[in-house]
Amino acid sequence: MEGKNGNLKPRGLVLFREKTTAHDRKVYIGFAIFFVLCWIAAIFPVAEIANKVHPIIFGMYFFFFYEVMLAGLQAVAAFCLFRWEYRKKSMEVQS
Amino acid sequence: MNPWIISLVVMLAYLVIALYIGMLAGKGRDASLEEYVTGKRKFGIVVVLFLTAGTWFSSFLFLGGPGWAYSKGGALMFITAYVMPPFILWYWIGPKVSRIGAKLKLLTQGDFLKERYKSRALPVIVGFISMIAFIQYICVQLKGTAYLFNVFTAGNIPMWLGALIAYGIVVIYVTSSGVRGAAWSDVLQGIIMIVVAWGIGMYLVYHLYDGPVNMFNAISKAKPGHLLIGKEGSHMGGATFSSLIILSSIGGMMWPHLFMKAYVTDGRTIKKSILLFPIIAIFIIPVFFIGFAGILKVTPDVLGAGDRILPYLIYNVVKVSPFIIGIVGAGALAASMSSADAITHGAGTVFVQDIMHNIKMDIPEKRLLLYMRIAICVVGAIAYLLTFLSQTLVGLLIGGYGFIVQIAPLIYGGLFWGRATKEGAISGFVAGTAINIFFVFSHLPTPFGINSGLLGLMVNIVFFVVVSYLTKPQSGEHVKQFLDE
Repeated sequence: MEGKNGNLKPRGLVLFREKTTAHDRKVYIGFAIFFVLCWIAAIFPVAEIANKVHPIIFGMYFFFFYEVMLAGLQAVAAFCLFRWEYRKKSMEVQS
Repeated sequence: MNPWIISLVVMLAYLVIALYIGMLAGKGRDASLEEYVTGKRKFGIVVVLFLTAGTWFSSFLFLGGPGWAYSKGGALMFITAYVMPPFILWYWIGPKVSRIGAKLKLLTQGDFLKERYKSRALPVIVGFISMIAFIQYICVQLKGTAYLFNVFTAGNIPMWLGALIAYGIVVIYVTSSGVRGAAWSDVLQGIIMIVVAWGIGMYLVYHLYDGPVNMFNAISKAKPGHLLIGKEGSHMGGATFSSLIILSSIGGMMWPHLFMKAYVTDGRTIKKSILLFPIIAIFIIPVFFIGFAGILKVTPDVLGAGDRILPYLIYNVVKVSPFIIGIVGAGALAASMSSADAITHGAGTVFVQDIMHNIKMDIPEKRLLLYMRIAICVVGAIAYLLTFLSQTLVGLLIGGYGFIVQIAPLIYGGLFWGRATKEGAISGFVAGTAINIFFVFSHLPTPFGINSGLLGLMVNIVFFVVVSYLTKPQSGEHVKQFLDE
Protein backbone atom coordinates (compact mmCIF):
# COMPACT_ATOMS: atom_id res chain seq x y z
CA MET A 1 0.00 0.00 0.00
CA GLU A 2 2.98 2.33 0.62
CA GLY A 3 4.28 4.24 -2.44
CA LYS A 4 7.94 4.99 -3.21
CA ASN A 5 7.88 8.32 -1.42
CA GLY A 6 5.97 6.96 1.56
CA ASN A 7 2.60 8.18 0.31
CA LEU A 8 -0.27 5.74 0.20
CA LYS A 9 -1.08 4.57 -3.32
CA PRO A 10 -4.62 4.67 -4.64
CA ARG A 11 -5.72 1.08 -4.60
CA GLY A 12 -8.09 -1.19 -6.51
CA LEU A 13 -11.07 -2.85 -4.90
CA VAL A 14 -10.86 -2.81 -1.10
CA LEU A 15 -13.67 -4.87 0.40
CA PHE A 16 -12.22 -5.27 3.90
CA ARG A 17 -10.49 -3.08 6.41
CA GLU A 18 -6.75 -3.65 6.72
CA LYS A 19 -7.04 -5.18 10.17
CA THR A 20 -9.51 -7.87 9.05
CA THR A 21 -7.81 -11.27 9.43
CA ALA A 22 -7.66 -13.90 6.68
CA HIS A 23 -10.06 -16.15 8.61
CA ASP A 24 -12.58 -13.37 9.10
CA ARG A 25 -12.40 -12.51 5.42
CA LYS A 26 -13.31 -16.10 4.57
CA VAL A 27 -16.32 -15.95 6.90
CA TYR A 28 -17.51 -12.68 5.38
CA ILE A 29 -17.07 -14.03 1.86
CA GLY A 30 -19.05 -17.15 2.85
CA PHE A 31 -21.95 -15.03 4.08
CA ALA A 32 -21.74 -12.82 0.99
CA ILE A 33 -21.97 -15.85 -1.29
CA PHE A 34 -25.02 -17.06 0.62
CA PHE A 35 -26.75 -13.69 0.26
CA VAL A 36 -25.97 -13.52 -3.46
CA LEU A 37 -27.32 -17.05 -3.96
CA CYS A 38 -30.57 -16.09 -2.21
CA TRP A 39 -30.81 -13.03 -4.43
CA ILE A 40 -30.20 -15.02 -7.61
CA ALA A 41 -32.74 -17.61 -6.50
CA ALA A 42 -35.37 -14.86 -6.23
CA ILE A 43 -35.03 -13.80 -9.88
CA PHE A 44 -35.61 -15.52 -13.19
CA PRO A 45 -34.66 -17.94 -14.67
CA VAL A 46 -33.88 -19.63 -11.32
CA ALA A 47 -37.19 -18.54 -9.78
CA GLU A 48 -38.98 -20.47 -12.56
CA ILE A 49 -38.67 -23.62 -10.38
CA ALA A 50 -41.08 -22.03 -7.90
CA ASN A 51 -43.37 -20.30 -10.39
CA LYS A 52 -46.50 -22.26 -9.49
CA VAL A 53 -49.54 -21.97 -7.24
CA HIS A 54 -49.48 -25.33 -5.45
CA PRO A 55 -48.67 -26.41 -2.83
CA ILE A 56 -50.08 -23.61 -0.70
CA ILE A 57 -47.88 -23.27 2.41
CA PHE A 58 -48.67 -21.21 5.52
CA GLY A 59 -51.57 -19.64 3.64
CA MET A 60 -49.38 -18.45 0.79
CA TYR A 61 -49.43 -19.86 -2.74
CA PHE A 62 -46.13 -21.46 -3.62
CA PHE A 63 -44.42 -18.63 -5.52
CA PHE A 64 -45.41 -16.18 -2.78
CA PHE A 65 -44.13 -18.56 -0.08
CA TYR A 66 -40.88 -19.09 -2.04
CA GLU A 67 -40.10 -15.36 -2.20
CA VAL A 68 -41.00 -14.88 1.49
CA MET A 69 -38.85 -17.90 2.42
CA LEU A 70 -35.83 -16.44 0.61
CA ALA A 71 -36.29 -13.14 2.46
CA GLY A 72 -36.55 -15.11 5.72
CA LEU A 73 -33.36 -17.04 4.98
CA GLN A 74 -31.51 -13.78 4.40
CA ALA A 75 -32.85 -12.40 7.69
CA VAL A 76 -31.68 -15.51 9.58
CA ALA A 77 -28.27 -15.34 7.93
CA ALA A 78 -27.94 -11.66 8.85
CA PHE A 79 -28.73 -12.57 12.45
CA CYS A 80 -26.05 -15.33 12.42
CA LEU A 81 -23.54 -12.88 10.96
CA PHE A 82 -24.29 -10.35 13.67
CA ARG A 83 -23.95 -13.02 16.41
CA TRP A 84 -20.62 -14.12 14.97
CA GLU A 85 -19.34 -10.54 14.85
CA TYR A 86 -20.55 -9.93 18.41
CA ARG A 87 -18.84 -13.06 19.78
CA LYS A 88 -15.64 -12.24 17.89
CA LYS A 89 -15.60 -8.76 19.38
CA SER A 90 -16.29 -10.10 22.90
CA MET A 91 -13.37 -12.54 22.57
CA GLU A 92 -11.10 -9.78 21.31
CA VAL A 93 -12.00 -7.62 24.31
CA GLN A 94 -11.36 -10.52 26.74
CA SER A 95 -7.99 -11.35 25.25
CA MET B 1 -74.57 11.42 12.82
CA ASN B 2 -73.52 10.61 9.28
CA PRO B 3 -71.26 7.49 9.21
CA TRP B 4 -68.59 9.27 7.16
CA ILE B 5 -68.28 11.93 9.87
CA ILE B 6 -67.35 9.22 12.42
CA SER B 7 -64.64 7.93 10.05
CA LEU B 8 -63.42 11.46 9.49
CA VAL B 9 -63.24 12.19 13.23
CA VAL B 10 -61.14 9.03 13.81
CA MET B 11 -58.72 9.99 11.02
CA LEU B 12 -58.50 13.58 12.25
CA ALA B 13 -57.84 12.34 15.80
CA TYR B 14 -54.91 10.31 14.49
CA LEU B 15 -53.61 13.35 12.58
CA VAL B 16 -53.77 15.53 15.69
CA ILE B 17 -51.82 12.95 17.72
CA ALA B 18 -49.20 12.63 14.95
CA LEU B 19 -48.85 16.41 14.83
CA TYR B 20 -48.52 16.63 18.61
CA ILE B 21 -45.80 13.94 18.76
CA GLY B 22 -43.96 15.46 15.80
CA MET B 23 -43.98 18.92 17.37
CA LEU B 24 -43.11 17.66 20.85
CA ALA B 25 -40.07 15.76 19.55
CA GLY B 26 -38.32 18.96 18.55
CA LYS B 27 -39.20 20.95 21.65
CA GLY B 28 -36.24 22.32 23.61
CA ARG B 29 -33.64 21.17 21.07
CA ASP B 30 -30.89 23.52 19.95
CA ALA B 31 -31.17 25.21 16.59
CA SER B 32 -28.16 23.64 14.88
CA LEU B 33 -27.87 22.00 11.48
CA GLU B 34 -26.52 18.80 13.03
CA GLU B 35 -29.56 18.57 15.33
CA TYR B 36 -32.05 19.39 12.56
CA VAL B 37 -30.60 16.96 10.01
CA THR B 38 -29.10 14.11 12.09
CA GLY B 39 -30.57 14.50 15.59
CA LYS B 40 -26.99 14.85 16.89
CA ARG B 41 -26.32 11.27 15.65
CA LYS B 42 -27.70 9.75 18.84
CA PHE B 43 -30.94 8.00 17.90
CA GLY B 44 -31.62 4.68 19.68
CA ILE B 45 -32.61 1.34 18.20
CA VAL B 46 -36.41 1.73 18.38
CA VAL B 47 -36.43 5.13 16.71
CA VAL B 48 -33.94 4.07 14.02
CA LEU B 49 -35.97 0.93 13.32
CA PHE B 50 -39.27 2.75 12.92
CA LEU B 51 -37.70 5.67 11.11
CA THR B 52 -36.22 3.30 8.53
CA ALA B 53 -39.24 1.00 8.30
CA GLY B 54 -41.71 3.87 8.31
CA THR B 55 -39.82 5.57 5.52
CA TRP B 56 -39.47 2.33 3.58
CA PHE B 57 -43.11 1.24 3.74
CA SER B 58 -45.26 3.97 2.37
CA SER B 59 -48.61 4.41 0.66
CA PHE B 60 -47.20 2.44 -2.26
CA LEU B 61 -47.48 -0.55 0.04
CA PHE B 62 -50.84 0.18 1.63
CA LEU B 63 -52.60 1.22 -1.57
CA GLY B 64 -50.27 0.40 -4.45
CA GLY B 65 -49.39 -3.04 -3.03
CA PRO B 66 -53.00 -4.29 -2.82
CA GLY B 67 -53.61 -2.47 -6.14
CA TRP B 68 -50.90 -4.48 -7.84
CA ALA B 69 -52.01 -7.73 -6.16
CA TYR B 70 -55.48 -7.05 -7.54
CA SER B 71 -54.58 -5.93 -11.05
CA LYS B 72 -51.18 -7.58 -11.73
CA GLY B 73 -51.22 -10.59 -9.37
CA GLY B 74 -47.90 -12.41 -9.20
CA ALA B 75 -45.95 -9.41 -10.52
CA LEU B 76 -46.30 -8.00 -7.02
CA MET B 77 -43.88 -10.61 -5.71
CA PHE B 78 -41.01 -8.39 -6.82
CA ILE B 79 -41.73 -6.35 -3.68
CA THR B 80 -41.34 -9.46 -1.51
CA ALA B 81 -38.12 -10.35 -3.30
CA TYR B 82 -36.51 -6.98 -2.67
CA VAL B 83 -37.51 -6.55 0.96
CA MET B 84 -34.22 -7.90 2.33
CA PRO B 85 -31.44 -7.32 -0.27
CA PRO B 86 -31.18 -3.52 0.18
CA PHE B 87 -30.88 -4.04 3.92
CA ILE B 88 -28.23 -6.74 3.52
CA LEU B 89 -26.24 -4.23 1.45
CA TRP B 90 -26.98 -1.62 4.11
CA TYR B 91 -25.64 -3.98 6.81
CA TRP B 92 -22.40 -3.91 4.84
CA ILE B 93 -22.12 -0.20 4.04
CA GLY B 94 -24.37 1.55 6.60
CA PRO B 95 -22.00 1.32 9.58
CA LYS B 96 -19.09 2.40 7.37
CA VAL B 97 -21.03 5.44 6.14
CA SER B 98 -22.01 6.22 9.74
CA ARG B 99 -18.37 6.20 10.92
CA ILE B 100 -17.23 8.34 7.99
CA GLY B 101 -20.12 10.73 8.60
CA ALA B 102 -19.30 11.15 12.28
CA LYS B 103 -15.59 11.63 11.55
CA LEU B 104 -16.04 14.18 8.76
CA LYS B 105 -19.23 15.78 10.17
CA LEU B 106 -21.27 14.88 7.09
CA LEU B 107 -24.99 15.66 6.95
CA THR B 108 -26.18 14.43 3.57
CA GLN B 109 -25.42 11.98 0.78
CA GLY B 110 -24.15 14.95 -1.24
CA ASP B 111 -21.69 15.78 1.56
CA PHE B 112 -20.32 12.25 1.25
CA LEU B 113 -19.91 12.58 -2.52
CA LYS B 114 -18.34 16.03 -2.17
CA GLU B 115 -15.76 14.82 0.34
CA ARG B 116 -14.99 11.52 -1.34
CA TYR B 117 -14.62 12.87 -4.87
CA LYS B 118 -13.46 16.37 -3.88
CA SER B 119 -16.09 17.91 -6.09
CA ARG B 120 -18.66 20.60 -5.45
CA ALA B 121 -20.29 19.97 -8.83
CA LEU B 122 -21.13 16.34 -8.08
CA PRO B 123 -23.51 16.95 -5.12
CA VAL B 124 -25.21 19.71 -7.12
CA ILE B 125 -25.82 17.41 -10.13
CA VAL B 126 -26.89 14.47 -7.98
CA GLY B 127 -28.98 16.84 -5.84
CA PHE B 128 -30.97 18.11 -8.82
CA ILE B 129 -31.76 14.61 -10.04
CA SER B 130 -32.61 13.54 -6.49
CA MET B 131 -35.06 16.43 -6.23
CA ILE B 132 -36.92 15.14 -9.30
CA ALA B 133 -37.10 11.66 -7.76
CA PHE B 134 -38.08 13.09 -4.37
CA ILE B 135 -40.97 15.03 -5.82
CA GLN B 136 -42.16 11.93 -7.68
CA TYR B 137 -41.96 10.01 -4.41
CA ILE B 138 -43.84 12.66 -2.43
CA CYS B 139 -46.52 12.61 -5.14
CA VAL B 140 -46.95 8.87 -4.43
CA GLN B 141 -47.70 9.64 -0.79
CA LEU B 142 -49.95 12.58 -1.55
CA LYS B 143 -51.94 10.68 -4.11
CA GLY B 144 -52.48 7.90 -1.58
CA THR B 145 -53.58 10.37 1.08
CA ALA B 146 -55.99 12.04 -1.31
CA TYR B 147 -57.63 8.71 -2.26
CA LEU B 148 -58.01 7.76 1.36
CA PHE B 149 -59.69 10.89 2.55
CA ASN B 150 -61.98 10.93 -0.46
CA VAL B 151 -63.14 7.32 -0.30
CA PHE B 152 -63.28 6.92 3.49
CA THR B 153 -65.47 9.98 3.81
CA ALA B 154 -67.82 8.79 1.05
CA GLY B 155 -66.53 11.50 -1.28
CA ASN B 156 -67.34 14.33 1.13
CA ILE B 157 -63.74 15.43 1.51
CA PRO B 158 -62.41 16.27 -1.97
CA MET B 159 -59.03 14.86 -3.04
CA TRP B 160 -57.31 18.24 -2.92
CA LEU B 161 -58.47 18.91 0.64
CA GLY B 162 -57.56 15.46 2.02
CA ALA B 163 -54.02 15.72 0.66
CA LEU B 164 -53.75 19.28 1.93
CA ILE B 165 -54.80 18.40 5.50
CA ALA B 166 -52.53 15.35 5.93
CA TYR B 167 -49.51 16.69 4.09
CA GLY B 168 -49.93 20.12 5.67
CA ILE B 169 -49.50 18.46 9.07
CA VAL B 170 -46.39 16.63 7.85
CA VAL B 171 -44.85 19.86 6.57
CA ILE B 172 -45.62 21.62 9.86
CA TYR B 173 -43.91 19.09 12.14
CA VAL B 174 -40.98 18.45 9.81
CA THR B 175 -40.35 22.18 9.36
CA SER B 176 -40.53 22.68 13.09
CA SER B 177 -38.73 19.61 14.49
CA GLY B 178 -36.55 18.31 11.64
CA VAL B 179 -35.49 14.67 11.61
CA ARG B 180 -36.50 14.24 15.26
CA GLY B 181 -40.11 15.12 14.44
CA ALA B 182 -40.12 12.68 11.52
CA ALA B 183 -38.53 9.95 13.64
CA TRP B 184 -40.86 10.07 16.64
CA SER B 185 -44.00 10.42 14.56
CA ASP B 186 -42.76 7.41 12.56
CA VAL B 187 -42.78 5.33 15.73
CA LEU B 188 -46.48 6.07 16.20
CA GLN B 189 -47.22 5.69 12.50
CA GLY B 190 -45.26 2.42 12.24
CA ILE B 191 -47.18 0.81 15.09
CA ILE B 192 -50.55 1.92 13.70
CA MET B 193 -49.86 0.73 10.16
CA ILE B 194 -48.67 -2.71 11.30
CA VAL B 195 -51.67 -3.31 13.57
CA VAL B 196 -54.11 -2.12 10.91
CA ALA B 197 -52.46 -4.13 8.12
CA TRP B 198 -52.65 -7.40 10.04
CA GLY B 199 -56.16 -6.67 11.26
CA ILE B 200 -57.78 -5.70 7.97
CA GLY B 201 -55.76 -8.12 5.80
CA MET B 202 -56.68 -11.19 7.81
CA TYR B 203 -60.25 -10.01 8.36
CA LEU B 204 -60.89 -9.60 4.63
CA VAL B 205 -59.44 -12.98 3.72
CA TYR B 206 -61.37 -14.88 6.40
CA HIS B 207 -64.56 -12.91 5.91
CA LEU B 208 -64.64 -13.26 2.12
CA TYR B 209 -63.02 -16.68 1.58
CA ASP B 210 -62.82 -18.42 4.93
CA GLY B 211 -59.02 -18.33 4.77
CA PRO B 212 -56.13 -17.75 2.36
CA VAL B 213 -55.98 -21.36 1.10
CA ASN B 214 -59.54 -21.14 -0.25
CA MET B 215 -58.80 -17.71 -1.68
CA PHE B 216 -55.72 -18.78 -3.66
CA ASN B 217 -57.43 -21.98 -4.85
CA ALA B 218 -60.38 -19.94 -6.10
CA ILE B 219 -58.15 -17.38 -7.86
CA SER B 220 -55.98 -19.99 -9.55
CA LYS B 221 -59.09 -21.81 -10.77
CA ALA B 222 -60.73 -18.66 -12.17
CA LYS B 223 -57.56 -16.95 -13.45
CA PRO B 224 -54.81 -19.58 -13.78
CA GLY B 225 -51.90 -17.31 -14.82
CA HIS B 226 -52.77 -14.30 -12.69
CA LEU B 227 -50.70 -15.31 -9.67
CA LEU B 228 -47.62 -16.26 -11.69
CA ILE B 229 -44.89 -14.73 -13.84
CA GLY B 230 -44.49 -15.18 -17.60
CA LYS B 231 -47.43 -17.59 -18.03
CA GLU B 232 -50.58 -17.21 -20.07
CA GLY B 233 -52.75 -14.71 -18.19
CA SER B 234 -49.77 -13.30 -16.24
CA HIS B 235 -49.16 -9.57 -16.19
CA MET B 236 -45.37 -9.54 -16.25
CA GLY B 237 -42.54 -11.47 -17.90
CA GLY B 238 -39.50 -12.92 -16.12
CA ALA B 239 -37.05 -10.30 -17.50
CA THR B 240 -39.12 -7.34 -16.32
CA PHE B 241 -39.76 -8.99 -12.96
CA SER B 242 -36.07 -9.71 -12.43
CA SER B 243 -34.88 -6.30 -13.58
CA LEU B 244 -37.28 -4.64 -11.13
CA ILE B 245 -35.81 -6.71 -8.28
CA ILE B 246 -32.23 -5.89 -9.31
CA LEU B 247 -33.06 -2.19 -9.71
CA SER B 248 -34.86 -1.93 -6.38
CA SER B 249 -32.29 -4.00 -4.47
CA ILE B 250 -29.38 -1.86 -5.62
CA GLY B 251 -31.26 1.44 -5.55
CA GLY B 252 -33.21 0.86 -2.33
CA MET B 253 -30.88 2.43 0.18
CA MET B 254 -29.50 4.95 -2.31
CA TRP B 255 -32.45 7.26 -1.78
CA PRO B 256 -30.77 10.28 -0.20
CA HIS B 257 -33.29 10.47 2.66
CA LEU B 258 -32.63 6.81 3.55
CA PHE B 259 -28.88 7.09 3.07
CA MET B 260 -28.86 10.05 5.47
CA LYS B 261 -30.23 7.77 8.18
CA ALA B 262 -26.72 6.37 8.53
CA TYR B 263 -25.80 9.68 10.14
CA VAL B 264 -28.50 9.60 12.85
CA THR B 265 -26.86 6.81 14.86
CA ASP B 266 -23.82 4.53 15.18
CA GLY B 267 -22.91 1.42 13.17
CA ARG B 268 -23.97 -1.09 15.80
CA THR B 269 -27.47 0.38 16.08
CA ILE B 270 -27.80 0.30 12.29
CA LYS B 271 -26.97 -3.41 12.29
CA LYS B 272 -29.42 -4.15 15.11
CA SER B 273 -32.20 -2.25 13.33
CA ILE B 274 -31.61 -4.38 10.22
CA LEU B 275 -31.94 -7.55 12.27
CA LEU B 276 -35.27 -6.37 13.67
CA PHE B 277 -36.55 -5.06 10.34
CA PRO B 278 -38.04 -8.41 9.15
CA ILE B 279 -40.39 -8.45 12.17
CA ILE B 280 -41.97 -5.31 10.76
CA ALA B 281 -41.53 -6.25 7.10
CA ILE B 282 -43.58 -9.41 7.44
CA PHE B 283 -46.69 -7.22 7.51
CA ILE B 284 -46.50 -7.06 3.73
CA ILE B 285 -48.17 -10.49 3.72
CA PRO B 286 -51.58 -9.35 5.03
CA VAL B 287 -51.28 -6.17 2.95
CA PHE B 288 -50.97 -8.25 -0.21
CA PHE B 289 -53.85 -10.45 0.92
CA ILE B 290 -56.08 -7.36 0.72
CA GLY B 291 -55.50 -7.03 -3.03
CA PHE B 292 -55.76 -10.76 -3.70
CA ALA B 293 -59.04 -10.82 -1.78
CA GLY B 294 -60.52 -8.31 -4.21
CA ILE B 295 -59.73 -10.22 -7.43
CA LEU B 296 -62.90 -12.32 -7.52
CA LYS B 297 -65.09 -9.84 -5.66
CA VAL B 298 -64.69 -6.62 -7.64
CA THR B 299 -64.60 -6.20 -11.41
CA PRO B 300 -61.98 -3.78 -12.80
CA ASP B 301 -64.55 -1.64 -14.66
CA VAL B 302 -66.33 -0.90 -11.35
CA LEU B 303 -63.11 -0.08 -9.53
CA GLY B 304 -61.27 2.15 -12.01
CA ALA B 305 -57.66 2.28 -10.74
CA GLY B 306 -56.38 -0.84 -8.93
CA ASP B 307 -54.99 1.34 -6.14
CA ARG B 308 -58.55 1.88 -4.90
CA ILE B 309 -59.11 -1.76 -3.99
CA LEU B 310 -58.55 -1.42 -0.20
CA PRO B 311 -60.95 1.49 0.30
CA TYR B 312 -63.43 -0.07 -2.11
CA LEU B 313 -63.46 -3.44 -0.34
CA ILE B 314 -64.00 -2.11 3.14
CA TYR B 315 -66.50 0.53 2.05
CA ASN B 316 -68.57 -1.37 -0.49
CA VAL B 317 -67.97 -5.11 -0.08
CA VAL B 318 -67.55 -5.97 3.61
CA LYS B 319 -69.26 -2.83 4.93
CA VAL B 320 -67.57 -2.55 8.33
CA SER B 321 -68.53 0.11 10.89
CA PRO B 322 -67.55 3.73 10.22
CA PHE B 323 -65.27 3.63 13.26
CA ILE B 324 -63.29 0.70 11.78
CA ILE B 325 -63.19 2.51 8.43
CA GLY B 326 -61.67 5.46 10.26
CA ILE B 327 -59.08 3.20 11.93
CA VAL B 328 -58.11 1.66 8.57
CA GLY B 329 -57.93 5.15 7.12
CA ALA B 330 -55.62 6.17 9.96
CA GLY B 331 -53.39 3.13 9.28
CA ALA B 332 -53.12 3.93 5.60
CA LEU B 333 -52.54 7.62 6.35
CA ALA B 334 -49.78 6.55 8.76
CA ALA B 335 -48.08 4.62 5.97
CA SER B 336 -48.24 7.64 3.65
CA MET B 337 -47.15 10.18 6.23
CA SER B 338 -44.28 8.14 7.66
CA SER B 339 -42.63 8.22 4.26
CA ALA B 340 -43.73 11.73 3.33
CA ASP B 341 -42.10 13.25 6.42
CA ALA B 342 -38.68 11.66 5.84
CA ILE B 343 -38.73 12.42 2.12
CA THR B 344 -39.84 16.01 2.61
CA HIS B 345 -37.17 16.50 5.26
CA GLY B 346 -34.62 14.89 2.90
CA ALA B 347 -35.70 17.05 -0.03
CA GLY B 348 -35.38 20.30 1.93
CA THR B 349 -32.00 19.25 3.28
CA VAL B 350 -30.66 18.14 -0.09
CA PHE B 351 -31.80 21.33 -1.79
CA VAL B 352 -30.08 23.60 0.72
CA GLN B 353 -27.05 21.57 1.82
CA ASP B 354 -26.19 19.85 -1.48
CA ILE B 355 -27.34 22.34 -4.09
CA MET B 356 -27.56 25.82 -2.62
CA HIS B 357 -24.61 25.52 -0.23
CA ASN B 358 -22.30 24.18 -2.93
CA ILE B 359 -23.19 26.97 -5.33
CA LYS B 360 -22.78 29.67 -2.67
CA MET B 361 -20.39 28.49 0.04
CA ASP B 362 -20.45 31.40 2.50
CA ILE B 363 -23.90 30.97 4.02
CA PRO B 364 -23.94 31.11 7.84
CA GLU B 365 -25.34 28.03 9.64
CA LYS B 366 -28.37 29.86 11.04
CA ARG B 367 -29.28 31.08 7.57
CA LEU B 368 -28.86 27.55 6.17
CA LEU B 369 -31.28 26.23 8.75
CA LEU B 370 -33.82 28.89 7.85
CA TYR B 371 -33.42 28.10 4.14
CA MET B 372 -33.93 24.41 4.90
CA ARG B 373 -37.23 25.12 6.61
CA ILE B 374 -38.35 27.32 3.71
CA ALA B 375 -37.23 24.69 1.18
CA ILE B 376 -39.31 22.02 2.94
CA CYS B 377 -42.42 24.19 2.54
CA VAL B 378 -41.63 25.01 -1.11
CA VAL B 379 -40.90 21.40 -2.07
CA GLY B 380 -44.12 20.41 -0.33
CA ALA B 381 -46.10 22.98 -2.29
CA ILE B 382 -44.60 21.92 -5.64
CA ALA B 383 -45.23 18.23 -4.97
CA TYR B 384 -48.77 19.04 -3.91
CA LEU B 385 -49.48 20.85 -7.18
CA LEU B 386 -47.99 18.04 -9.27
CA THR B 387 -49.75 15.24 -7.42
CA PHE B 388 -52.87 14.92 -9.45
CA LEU B 389 -51.20 14.68 -12.84
CA SER B 390 -49.77 11.16 -13.07
CA GLN B 391 -49.84 7.34 -13.17
CA THR B 392 -50.58 4.68 -10.54
CA LEU B 393 -48.69 4.56 -7.24
CA VAL B 394 -46.18 1.78 -7.87
CA GLY B 395 -45.57 3.15 -11.38
CA LEU B 396 -44.65 6.49 -9.85
CA LEU B 397 -42.29 4.85 -7.40
CA ILE B 398 -40.49 2.79 -10.02
CA GLY B 399 -40.05 5.99 -12.06
CA GLY B 400 -38.15 7.48 -9.13
CA TYR B 401 -35.98 4.38 -8.69
CA GLY B 402 -34.65 4.72 -12.23
CA PHE B 403 -33.00 7.99 -11.25
CA ILE B 404 -31.92 7.05 -7.75
CA VAL B 405 -30.20 3.81 -8.73
CA GLN B 406 -27.72 5.89 -10.76
CA ILE B 407 -26.20 7.06 -7.45
CA ALA B 408 -25.24 3.49 -6.48
CA PRO B 409 -21.95 3.19 -8.44
CA LEU B 410 -20.77 6.51 -6.97
CA ILE B 411 -21.43 5.34 -3.41
CA TYR B 412 -20.08 1.80 -3.77
CA GLY B 413 -17.13 3.02 -5.84
CA GLY B 414 -16.46 5.72 -3.26
CA LEU B 415 -16.45 3.21 -0.42
CA PHE B 416 -14.63 0.29 -2.00
CA TRP B 417 -12.74 1.32 -5.13
CA GLY B 418 -9.54 3.32 -4.74
CA ARG B 419 -9.29 4.16 -8.43
CA ALA B 420 -12.68 5.94 -8.59
CA THR B 421 -12.32 9.57 -9.66
CA LYS B 422 -14.47 12.67 -9.78
CA GLU B 423 -14.56 12.66 -13.57
CA GLY B 424 -15.59 8.99 -13.65
CA ALA B 425 -18.34 9.57 -11.13
CA ILE B 426 -19.79 12.60 -12.92
CA SER B 427 -19.66 11.07 -16.40
CA GLY B 428 -21.16 7.78 -15.21
CA PHE B 429 -23.99 9.48 -13.36
CA VAL B 430 -24.82 11.81 -16.24
CA ALA B 431 -24.71 9.02 -18.85
CA GLY B 432 -26.86 6.66 -16.76
CA THR B 433 -29.41 9.36 -16.01
CA ALA B 434 -29.55 10.39 -19.68
CA ILE B 435 -30.32 6.81 -20.75
CA ASN B 436 -33.06 6.55 -18.15
CA ILE B 437 -34.59 9.88 -19.14
CA PHE B 438 -34.46 8.92 -22.83
CA PHE B 439 -36.48 5.73 -22.34
CA VAL B 440 -38.87 7.23 -19.80
CA PHE B 441 -39.82 10.21 -21.97
CA SER B 442 -39.58 8.62 -25.44
CA HIS B 443 -41.81 5.72 -24.35
CA LEU B 444 -39.73 3.48 -26.63
CA PRO B 445 -39.62 -0.19 -25.62
CA THR B 446 -36.41 -1.21 -23.84
CA PRO B 447 -34.44 -4.28 -25.00
CA PHE B 448 -35.98 -7.49 -23.54
CA GLY B 449 -38.35 -5.40 -21.38
CA ILE B 450 -35.51 -4.52 -18.99
CA ASN B 451 -36.24 -1.51 -16.79
CA SER B 452 -34.81 1.74 -18.22
CA GLY B 453 -33.16 2.57 -14.88
CA LEU B 454 -31.26 -0.71 -15.00
CA LEU B 455 -30.13 -0.03 -18.57
CA GLY B 456 -28.93 3.37 -17.41
CA LEU B 457 -27.09 1.72 -14.53
CA MET B 458 -25.17 -0.55 -16.89
CA VAL B 459 -24.07 2.42 -19.02
CA ASN B 460 -23.29 4.36 -15.84
CA ILE B 461 -20.93 1.64 -14.56
CA VAL B 462 -19.09 1.40 -17.90
CA PHE B 463 -18.53 5.19 -18.02
CA PHE B 464 -17.59 5.32 -14.34
CA VAL B 465 -14.91 2.62 -14.68
CA VAL B 466 -13.49 3.65 -18.05
CA VAL B 467 -13.32 7.40 -17.33
CA SER B 468 -11.88 6.76 -13.85
CA TYR B 469 -9.03 4.76 -15.41
CA LEU B 470 -8.44 7.47 -17.99
CA THR B 471 -8.19 10.30 -15.43
CA LYS B 472 -5.75 11.18 -12.68
CA PRO B 473 -6.24 9.10 -9.51
CA GLN B 474 -6.93 10.77 -6.18
CA SER B 475 -4.25 10.74 -3.49
CA GLY B 476 -3.98 7.50 -1.54
CA GLU B 477 -3.99 9.39 1.73
CA HIS B 478 -7.39 10.88 0.88
CA VAL B 479 -8.89 7.68 -0.48
CA LYS B 480 -7.76 5.59 2.49
CA GLN B 481 -9.99 7.42 4.95
CA PHE B 482 -13.02 6.18 2.99
CA LEU B 483 -11.83 2.71 1.98
CA ASP B 484 -10.31 1.61 5.26
CA GLU B 485 -12.94 3.05 7.61
